[in-house]
Order: sequence, then structure tokens, then C-alpha cells
Amino acid sequence: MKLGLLVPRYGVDVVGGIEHWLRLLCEHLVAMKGWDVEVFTTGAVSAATWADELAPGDSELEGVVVHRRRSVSGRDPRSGELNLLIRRSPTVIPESVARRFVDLVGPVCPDMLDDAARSDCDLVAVTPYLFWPAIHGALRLGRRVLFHSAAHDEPELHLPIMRQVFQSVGGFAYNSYCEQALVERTFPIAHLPASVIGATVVEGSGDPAAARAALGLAPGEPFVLCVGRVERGKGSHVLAELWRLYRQRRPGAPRLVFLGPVHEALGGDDGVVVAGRQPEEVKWGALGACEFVITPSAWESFSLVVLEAWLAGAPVAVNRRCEATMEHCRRSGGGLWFFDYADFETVADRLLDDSALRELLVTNGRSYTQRVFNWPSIVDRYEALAHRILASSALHTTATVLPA
Amino acid sequence: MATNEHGTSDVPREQDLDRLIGELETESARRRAEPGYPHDADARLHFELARRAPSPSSALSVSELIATVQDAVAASGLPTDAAGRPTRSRRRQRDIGRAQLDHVVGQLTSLGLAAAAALEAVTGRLERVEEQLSALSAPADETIEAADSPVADDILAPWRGQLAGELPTGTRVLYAQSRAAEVVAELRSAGIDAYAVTSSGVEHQPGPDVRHDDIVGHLRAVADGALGAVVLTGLTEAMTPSVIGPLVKELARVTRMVVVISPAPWWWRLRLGAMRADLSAGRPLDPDTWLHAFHGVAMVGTAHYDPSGQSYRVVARRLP
Repeated sequence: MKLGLLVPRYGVDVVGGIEHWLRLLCEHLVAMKGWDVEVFTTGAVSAATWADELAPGDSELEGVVVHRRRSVSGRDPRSGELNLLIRRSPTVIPESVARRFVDLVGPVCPDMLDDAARSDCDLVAVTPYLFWPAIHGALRLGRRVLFHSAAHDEPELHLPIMRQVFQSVGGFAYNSYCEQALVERTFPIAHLPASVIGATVVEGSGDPAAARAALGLAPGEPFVLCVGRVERGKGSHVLAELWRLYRQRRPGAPRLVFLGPVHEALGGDDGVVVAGRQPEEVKWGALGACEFVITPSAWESFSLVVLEAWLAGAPVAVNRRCEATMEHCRRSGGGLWFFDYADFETVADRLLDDSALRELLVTNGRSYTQRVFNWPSIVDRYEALAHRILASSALHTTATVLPA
Repeated sequence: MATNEHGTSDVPREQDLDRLIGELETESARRRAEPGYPHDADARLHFELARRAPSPSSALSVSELIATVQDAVAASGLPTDAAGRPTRSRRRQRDIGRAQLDHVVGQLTSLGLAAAAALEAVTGRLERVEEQLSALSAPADETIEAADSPVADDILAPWRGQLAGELPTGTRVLYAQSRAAEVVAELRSAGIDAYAVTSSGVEHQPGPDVRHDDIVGHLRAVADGALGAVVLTGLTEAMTPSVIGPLVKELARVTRMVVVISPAPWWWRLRLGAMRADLSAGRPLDPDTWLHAFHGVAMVGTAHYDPSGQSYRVVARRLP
């Protein structure tokens, strides 16, 4: 099997996101299945600009051949203005405007697309759906595309142009069942081969005592943890407010620690510690030391943090509005959820008071993570999906082609 | 106990956790009803908890609404002094009016937030009740194979060997639902690009060949004419009449060929016994009913009974 990967950025410098996850997947497919994998990408590292920071050319990384090409354009700030228009009523945006938006979002790189089209790859994995490479790649490569859409229920998904994109590919690899349900209720593609592949985490280690010290906590001090980017869209600010309210009503409650890069300022106080970005060993030490982890975001596509918490021995509380984290909690029996303050207070009280419950939740969550999201299972599921797409009759039908 | 893609329990001690979730929900409801419960803060945090994107939130829209109301008051044509400000007495009146409007807008906003929260809570509760009801109605031993009834097996047996020879190749074929995994494997080994949908078994299925879904819901998510054929077996006899119409309509939209394998009504009644048959939510249709239904969507068909007369097969094709 020879797999291509068409992706806007690729490399060890690309941290987080589905691009990072697919790099790991490609490396494991090479190592565990003996596949040949070629990557078609740009020199971008940052999704904020798509600026070509890495030199163009061909190279090899962990057994994966990487073809890096220069972009014609990166992310244009004017895409933000169009985005405001799109967010108001995406379903009625004319195709010409949608195309213009896609061009402005970038990165526009026809050379990488030409490379992928000329390659002898059996299938080309394409991701994520929102950017220029995926939209033009899916339409040009058609049924050869194994689409990692990484779709959220956001306005861009409902642009009319997306219907062509999603209907033209050969099959789908989803992060979660809720992503599959979202895509299938948005586009008529349920007959195409699809599988929920998910993601995985590699368990790290860290010293709880050292982590407490690094976070500015007293030795042995109990605390509650929130890991990830600190920004409103991730629910950080509302969680801080919830916790302050909780501490008003429960004066003896432990402190809440935010661990992760601060993208939108959040003030700390007696009850809330904003620790910022920390080394991995501090993160794992904190996960192992905390009473429980809270994931307040309503908008996760997978949430590796939930799996990391379970592996490290922490139960989780998630926002009931988030389908992905709810799916983890419901499937595993490893977490609780909240919808409003009353739920939040009840769940926090129970998790802080009941160590047996914490142990039960962690046992369930860890078991689920190790069973479902281990590398052999993921690679096997991916291989089965790839073979189904290759054997699919749809592979021999003509895909929709974007007009010039 | 439900099983996952590795054949083991997806949710150990599921019953304990179900009970715990119920306890927590009851406790939450009690706290909401307490006199000191922070309803104002809860309403304020509601939109933030639902924040999904960095776009302007509804809360901002409320601010905009207040600003608009204030602007409207300001632009109401009141007499002004040399600096462009309303005269003292009129300005005082305007301030009072603005304060009253702000108060009303604030009250309406709180009411709206509380109503939205209540509706979402009710919706969530209803979803959970539906899930629990579904779980209650599911077989105790909830695996794919065990969920296939002996009746379904019996009626599939006479037709199973002929299926592959009758279905088109080079196009996608949907099979639902008796012995889904086995039959799909047989069809695929015969060169047919088949996949299955089943509403029995666990929700999360392994691999791309068998998926857990409601048949009508699944067909609605399929593109026009995307399937070469659809085979229905072990499914239609459990359907209520209200589902048959939408099912036939969707079938006509997505495929050119439909195969229905069903128990004969007399045998189904005999097999189940009069009381269970009478109380059943669904029952097998007469083959003529299927033919009539397909005729209504421009498909023509033929019906055959197996030699025992216990089951029949209807094959309908779209008119050219």
C-alpha cells in the first residue's frame, strides 16, 4: 500500500492539531504495516500565517518521504472580514465568494497538489476540510481521497461548496462517532466507506511533587486542573468564573490550575492559578496529582486531554454540550458532565468527596483508552478502511471536478 | 452487556454509573430549587458555556440591543442645549426612560436566558429518557448475532445462497440486517461491494462494513442513486406502517433495485403465537402490499414464495 498525505503543514515543529496526529499515524503505518507514505505539503509551521518557514524540497522524516513546496499565498487577514459574512448565513454564500474565502484562508499551493495528482499513491489522505489544500485536493483527486475531514459544526462546514468536496472523496476517517453523525447529517455521503479511527496518546510521566512546585502550589496541596489553550473559545474564562462561584459557596475548595499557553488573558487570584505553558513532565505530574480534570470546552473534535487524564489517573468532568468529550465519557464510564452551575457544583462536590468514585471513573477511563485507542487497533482500523476504499466500486466512478 | 469493537464491555459497572448519574441529576435539580441558588450567575454563564466559536456570542447581541435602544432614545428628537445635549429637564426624563428601558431589557434578557437554559435542560432530559427507553427495549444479550431472531434466520436461509448472483457488481450495495456481518462477508467475497446497516447490537461498530444505524435515517444520508441495490431482511416485519411510506420513498431515491425478504404473514403469526403477534408493534406485509408501494414510486417488482411458503422475496426495479 502506498499512501499519500496532502496536508497544509507537516513536521516535528507542527505541534497539536490533526496535522500532528496524522504525522504520528503515517510514521506508525510505515513502522507497523510497512506502508510507503509520501507527504505533499508546504513550508508552513504556523496556521495563523501559513508563512513558508521550512525550506522547499524533498526529504525523509521517520521513514516518511516529504515533498515540501512553496505556497503562492498564505492566510490573508481579509479572510477574517469575509468570515464575518459567512458566519451570518453560510448556506446562501455564492460559490464565487466561498472560493474567494478559501483562497484567502490559504495556503494556496498548486505545486503540492500537482505532486499529489502525479504520484502513484493508491490513496491520498487529505486534511483538514477547511483549508485550500483539502478543498482543491478533494475535488481534484476525487475517489482516491481518504478524507480526514476533522469537521466541527461551524458555519464554514455549511458553505454550499462543501457539498461538492465531501461528495467527491472515496471514504472518510473520523475522529469520533459524533463527527461521523455530523458529517452524515450535513452531506449525503453515508454510502461511502467510513470508519471511526480516533487518535491516541502516549502515556508520559512526571513527578507530582515537582509539578506542584512548578505550578506554585504547596507540597501536597489538592488542586483541580484544566489543561489546554487558555482562551474563551476553549471555555477557560467561564470555567474560572464557575470555580470562583464554587469557592464562594465552598470556601474550603481547592484551587483551580490552568495549564497551557495563554492565548487570551485570564487573571489569576486566590482560587485560580494560571500557570501558562509548562514542560510535558510538569503536565503529566500535574495530571497525576490533581483531584480531577475539567474540560470546559463545548467545541472539541477529539480531546486528547481527556485520554491523557485517564492514563495519568485523573477522572474528568466535561461540558455536556461537547459531543466529542461526552462520547468519551459515555462510552467509557470514565467521566461526569455538567450543563449549568448546579450540575457543576454537584459534580465537583462529588468528585472531591468520593475517592472511591474517582478510582472507579479512572479505572473505566483508562481501560477504554488502552483498549480502543492503542496503536495496533488504530493502525488495523485504518488499514481495513483503506482496503475498503480501494475495493470500493466508487473508486472507479468519476469525481466532481472544480471548474476552472 | 454491550460489547465494543474488541469484544469486551464498553462500560464496566454501567448500572452503577447510570444510578450515579441519576442521583447527580436529582441533586442538581434540588440545588436549583434552593433559595440561595445563584440564578443570575447561572444565566450569565449560560452562553459562555455554550460558546462554540470566536464569533460574536448571543450575549454580545444583547449588548448591541441595549445600545440600539439607547441610540433610539437619544435620537428621539428631544430639544438640546448649545452643546448638543438634551435640556436639563428633558435629559433627566430621558435618563429615567433609559434606566427603565435598561431594566426592562435586563429582565427580558434574564428571562430569555433562563428559558433557554430550561429548554435545553428539558431537551437533554428527554434525550436521556429516550436513550434509557431504547436501552430497556434492547435485548439483554446485546450482540449483533444474538439480536437476530430465529424467525429472521429462518426466512433468510432459503434466499441466502441466491443473493450474490442477483445483485449488481461495480456499484455499492446496502444490506440490512439479519446476520449483517456474515452476509456482507459472503457478498464481498463474491465480488459485490456490500456494506450493512443494522439497528441491533451495540452502537459502536468495528470497521467500515457494518454500521449501527436506523435504516430510514441512513438512507436519508445517502446521495441520490448512489446504491446499486438495497436488500432488506429481518427488518421489515418489525416496522410500523408509518415507517413503510418514508422507507419506500427513500429507497426509490437512492437505488434502482430493492430486494425485500420477509416472513409470510401466516407463518409469522403461527411462529409468534396469536397474542404476541397481535401485540407486536409491526408485522410482515403481504407481498402485494410491497408491490403496490413500489409501484407508487415508479418501481415494478415480482414476488416469489419459497417452496415451504414460509417466506417470500420481492424484487423491485426502477422503471427505465
